[in-house]
Amino acid sequence: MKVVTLVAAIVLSVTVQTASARVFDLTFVNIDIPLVVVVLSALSGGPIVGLWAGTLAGFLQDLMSGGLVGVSGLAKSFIGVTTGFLAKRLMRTG
Amino acid sequence: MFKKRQRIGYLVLAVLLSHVLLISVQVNVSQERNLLQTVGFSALAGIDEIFTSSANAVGSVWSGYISLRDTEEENASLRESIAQLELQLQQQNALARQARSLHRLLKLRNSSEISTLPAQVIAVDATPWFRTFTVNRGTGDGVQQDFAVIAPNGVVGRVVGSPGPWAAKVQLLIDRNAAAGALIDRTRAAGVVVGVDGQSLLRMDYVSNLEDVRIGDAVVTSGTDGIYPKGFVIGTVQNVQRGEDLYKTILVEPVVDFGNLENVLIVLNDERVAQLEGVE
Repeated sequence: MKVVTLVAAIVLSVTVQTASARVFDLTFVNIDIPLVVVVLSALSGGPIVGLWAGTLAGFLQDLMSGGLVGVSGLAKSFIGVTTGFLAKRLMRTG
Repeated sequence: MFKKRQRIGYLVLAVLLSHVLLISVQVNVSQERNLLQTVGFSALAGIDEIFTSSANAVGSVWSGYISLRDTEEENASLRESIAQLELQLQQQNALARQARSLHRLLKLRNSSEISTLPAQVIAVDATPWFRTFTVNRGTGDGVQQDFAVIAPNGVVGRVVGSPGPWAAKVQLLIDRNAAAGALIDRTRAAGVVVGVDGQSLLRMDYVSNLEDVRIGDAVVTSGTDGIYPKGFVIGTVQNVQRGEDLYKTILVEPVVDFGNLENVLIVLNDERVAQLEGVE
């Protein structure tokens, strides 16, 4: 169930990111919504969840962007894993 | 614990490596043949379309109903603007008409050899028995009684009564007491054009039944009356009938639209001025 929710959240975030600019003109905000979802999932689920969330979000974003598939995935996976590790370390030390 | 961390490390490495491999594979494949991207893009575009349609529907409800609150005020403001613009347009049209009229008058003044004085119609007599109007020129401008008044397209009438220093009364040719010496332009048959009571037409008297007069013939001033200069158009023959006595019954339609006169020319008759000064 958690996996389904996470996938749905990522798909929704990518859709909002690509479609919302045409409707609500969010260009002045310039937020990477899928990245926010990736970071949040990594903070709550750890590095593995962050890795897969980053991979999926980046993959979908690359598909929509028309560029090379994998570039965003690589970046977001790395950010997801790093955030997951940092979250674990902070929670342990804090 | 170490094994778990090691396992995560391998997994991360594998995923990142697969990304790099994925990127490197695509570098050598042209965009047209990128099946993965085509399929994935189509699938996501469908979701995108649904989302955009929903968002557009919400947006249209917002712009169509909620933001209509200010429309009533805006509508009133726009209506006011339109009314003002229409008023301005009418003023501009009136100015344009006046300019055209003055332009025609100027052309006539420059083309004729006679000495004329431009005048503006400032009042119209509304009584049906007397057809007169007032112009803004009087004795101060050299205007005297019986001076002819003409328009670009034909004869208007003459100055009657005693002109004031800044204004003069003009009797129109269609007045029942007005008369002018006239000629049928084509045949040079002479006669007298007079106003017809209660009508906007003129009657041409004293043209012999023997003369050839046809409908449409131009009627011009003969200059024999000492008021109107020779050769100016009065009108065209509208109806001609053989009279019971010696003369034809001829109805003439004036060329001047007496209802829409704004600017006219007063013919400064130098001989007449000299005559009047000699009498005094």
